Amino acid sequence: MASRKVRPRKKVAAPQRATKRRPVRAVAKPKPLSRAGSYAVAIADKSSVAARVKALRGLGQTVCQPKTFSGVLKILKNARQPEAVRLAALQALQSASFAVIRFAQLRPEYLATLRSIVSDASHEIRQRVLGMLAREQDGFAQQALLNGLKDPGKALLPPEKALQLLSNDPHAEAYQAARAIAAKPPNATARREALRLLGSDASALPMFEAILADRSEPSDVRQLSATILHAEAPEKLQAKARQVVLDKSEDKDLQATCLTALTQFGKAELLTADKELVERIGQLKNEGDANSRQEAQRFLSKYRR
Amino acid sequence: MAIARPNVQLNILSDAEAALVADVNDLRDRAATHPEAARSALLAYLHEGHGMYRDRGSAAVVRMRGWVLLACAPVAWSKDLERFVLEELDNGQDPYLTAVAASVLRRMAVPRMSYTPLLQRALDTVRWHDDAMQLDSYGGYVAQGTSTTAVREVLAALEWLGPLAVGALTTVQSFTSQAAQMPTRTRVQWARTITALTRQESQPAVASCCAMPATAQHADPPHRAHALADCLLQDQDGAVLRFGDFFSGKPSLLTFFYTRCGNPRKCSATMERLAQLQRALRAAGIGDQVRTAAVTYDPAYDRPSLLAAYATARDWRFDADHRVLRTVGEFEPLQQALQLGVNFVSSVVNRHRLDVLLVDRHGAVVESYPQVTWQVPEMCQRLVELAGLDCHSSQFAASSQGSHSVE
Repeated sequence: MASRKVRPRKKVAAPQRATKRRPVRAVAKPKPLSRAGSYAVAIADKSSVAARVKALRGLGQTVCQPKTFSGVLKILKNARQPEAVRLAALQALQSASFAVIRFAQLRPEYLATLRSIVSDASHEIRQRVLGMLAREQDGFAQQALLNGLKDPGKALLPPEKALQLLSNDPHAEAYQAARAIAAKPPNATARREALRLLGSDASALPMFEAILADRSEPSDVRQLSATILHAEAPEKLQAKARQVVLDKSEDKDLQATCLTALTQFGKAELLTADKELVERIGQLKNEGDANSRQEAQRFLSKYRR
Repeated sequence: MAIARPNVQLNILSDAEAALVADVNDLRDRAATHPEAARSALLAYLHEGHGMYRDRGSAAVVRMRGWVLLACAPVAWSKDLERFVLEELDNGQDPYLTAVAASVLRRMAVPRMSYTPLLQRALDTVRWHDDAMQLDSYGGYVAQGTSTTAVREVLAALEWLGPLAVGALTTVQSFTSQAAQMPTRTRVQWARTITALTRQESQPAVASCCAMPATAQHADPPHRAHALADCLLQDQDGAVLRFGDFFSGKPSLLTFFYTRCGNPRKCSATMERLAQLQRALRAAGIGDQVRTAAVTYDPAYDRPSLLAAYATARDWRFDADHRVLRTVGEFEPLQQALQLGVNFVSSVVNRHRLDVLLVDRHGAVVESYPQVTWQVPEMCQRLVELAGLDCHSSQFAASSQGSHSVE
């Protein structure tokens, strides 16, 4: 073992003591506002919009104090306030509402206020408020959204957004309206949202089977149908998925989705015995696109004997 | 895509709701001259299976039922009406219907101590998700200010009971920590309720103060449900059996649920309670002499794997006599034959009551326990009596408690 050379330690000079302290210059960094200070800035119309938004964001759980709560609610209700400030007020109230116990006594007035501004002039405020109420499965908001789906002249939000919000509650009365929109959609997004909503309704399953089998349907809609069938009638998807994978002219993305369904949720005894399917997936492993090749590899390593 | 501000008045009345409101208002007006006809028509509207609720959303059903309950004020208080009111307090979860029930109870009934636990449950349910409402307008929605709230209405009902509701004092006092945030009117009501509950009065002797007993409705004559004998059911393991085969040979308890139920006081609690009942029966050594089954209202959605997972999570142990079931095909024949309190929007349940049926060894429905939460020891005792066994309910009281408790 090589011996280590020990070097003599260098003498280190002791640091000289400063005889005079240099005066420290105050850095021009503003002190964070206290909660009370934040509230004062938030409600002051003369403050800048940016300062008020920042102040509202800094209120935290002090919004649960009755005086602060009333002040923030007043900002939200006042249509003459800048939209950014009102949105910050809405966000402050929503954050406070997550403290269920502290917020419990304030909740009735909070909900009543939200309902009072569902038809606000600001699209952004309408959308956020309706979103909050829809997540509460609020009947008033649901009816307002349904009215708009039935009569576009009364719509508070675009149909795709209204459908998305209504889908928060599988017990809502939206199925009939969704079926009408799926049959005669104002745009492709609205149709997709209508179909997504109908995914909660077991009586719509035959429609999803038909869409999955219909090659004239857009790929994303067929994939959505496959996902819904997987959730609600997996045995039906398995049968359809086999057909899609066997068909060489099928959409590649849909084939990859169906292959995943077969690999992850198929019955092993059926799949290992299905020579035609295993052979076809063997081809996909060599000929398919990257996605299909990867899924095919997974399938074969699981089911090929 | 942003859309322009719509210049519309929000109208929450659909055509179906407008028709119901017109009819109910008419019945209320006629109550003075034709009280019996008005009463029976209004009560018919409260049955969950009423065609008026078909294809309405849950929120619309809440509005409709609230309006019907409020319209009952001019008609005489009856046992039938009492059941609907107490059901909302016992296992309802919507703040509006809870407030309506508390208000109707206070305005119509005679104070009884047995109402206390139900009002206490109602207070526990709504205290964390209270809402503003106006009881004299359809749907109760308030957009400006707060006319009343569910908590305030339940507190007012407890105040009305006065010292009879002293059992709820701890619950009412537990609001102390929230007093600083209470709106003035709620704080005043809260203080008045505490004063009323602690008032010194000689209390009339009233029976139980601890639970509202579920009232049995006897099927007279026993209803054989012949039409269902060949109805096919599938259990949590996928096995298919005939209704007539499972519900014969041994007395059975049959109840209903669905896995998508959003009310923890209904389906989830029912399944936990049934697991407790099964434990009690097994502990008493009679688990194989009676049968229990829960059938889903939502057979298209509740596949066997979902049924098994839902029941297992609630402490069920399956065997040949204790199963979770779904109908193979439509649920409607079961709904019709057994007169179940359930309705649907498309294929999804929009409203259901608690329904428990006792079926004898010949397959006849002999008793039903609709609406109000049932107690495990009493139900065990009834099953034992139906089986002709010699056990006493005290045996079941302790053994029904397991790792999970219902409340």
